[in-house]
Amino acid sequence: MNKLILQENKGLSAQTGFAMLFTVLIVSLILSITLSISNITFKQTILSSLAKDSQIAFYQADTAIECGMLYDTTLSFPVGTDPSSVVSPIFCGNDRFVIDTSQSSVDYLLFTQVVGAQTDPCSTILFDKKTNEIENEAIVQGLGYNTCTASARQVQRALQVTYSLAP
Amino acid sequence: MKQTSLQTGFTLIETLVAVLILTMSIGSLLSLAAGGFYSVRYARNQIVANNLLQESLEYVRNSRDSAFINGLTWTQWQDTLQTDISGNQTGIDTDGCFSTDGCIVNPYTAVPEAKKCSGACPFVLYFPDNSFYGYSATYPFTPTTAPYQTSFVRKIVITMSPYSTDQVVVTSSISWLNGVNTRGVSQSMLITNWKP
Repeated sequence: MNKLILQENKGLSAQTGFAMLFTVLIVSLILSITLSISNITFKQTILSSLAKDSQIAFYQADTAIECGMLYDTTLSFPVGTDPSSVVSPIFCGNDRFVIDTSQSSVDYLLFTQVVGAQTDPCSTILFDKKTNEIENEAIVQGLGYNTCTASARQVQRALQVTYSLAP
Repeated sequence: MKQTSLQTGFTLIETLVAVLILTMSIGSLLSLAAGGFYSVRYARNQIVANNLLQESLEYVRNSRDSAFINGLTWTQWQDTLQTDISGNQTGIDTDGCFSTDGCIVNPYTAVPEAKKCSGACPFVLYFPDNSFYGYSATYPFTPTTAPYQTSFVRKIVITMSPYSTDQVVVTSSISWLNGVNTRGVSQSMLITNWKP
């Protein structure tokens, strides 16, 4: 009787590898499902934050365009203004904008916002003086960003105003 | 006899451990579901809050544009937003929306109006028959059911730019209760006297 039990035990112990196999299989299955759900959740989080980032960028662009129109209509930068001698900085609300001489010319004047941290929202103002000269039109462009740093999360919104100059 | 003892069921400890694992699993699932319900309510409230916020900023911009079209000067436009708690113009430069208490704006009255908040701004009401959010005083529609008080509070504050008298910064803030937690969104916008 004792011998019989011993033999049965030996037989059972030889088959315990199946338990490990099943465990690994089930754990792998649960892990892959969890990873898939996490991946979907992560993408959904990015998508849902897009609306918020977009709103921030839009109001940055809106602020830039309002400020740009104020300076343009008060003729702060008449046609033929040399970027090196332009009035800088200009002030918009509580913020300062300085001219970017590397990207400006007699035809285009580009002002960029001075921010405390590069992760802050920011905007740029572009005065298109070339079109102004040719078609008697003024063009002001405002670009708004939810974060100044270029990254996968950066959202840009642009507004452009075109209007005829007073004769 | 020995063989019988090998085939007995689970011991008490095994059962307790199993019950513990099951309880933890179900507990975490329930917690996840509760978190989901909370997030859904938060998302819904955030959408409402963002729309209320945009509405108020658009209101201020529209009042500036309307003032320009109607021939008002920059200062006269500011006067229309310098009001008391009844919406009457006071002529005080630091009153109404220009005060630290801020103001509420109501685009749905017959004549759109801005009223100074007395301390804290009032709660926004919900009109279920029109699905509008607003204030009750002189509501132009005739709601068939009483408006419901929401937990949303909207406050608009306008400040002069420290650099130019031709610029004002409009800030709209919305706060609400999500469960027991106070949540909020805020957005600023620049308004200028660009009219030559």
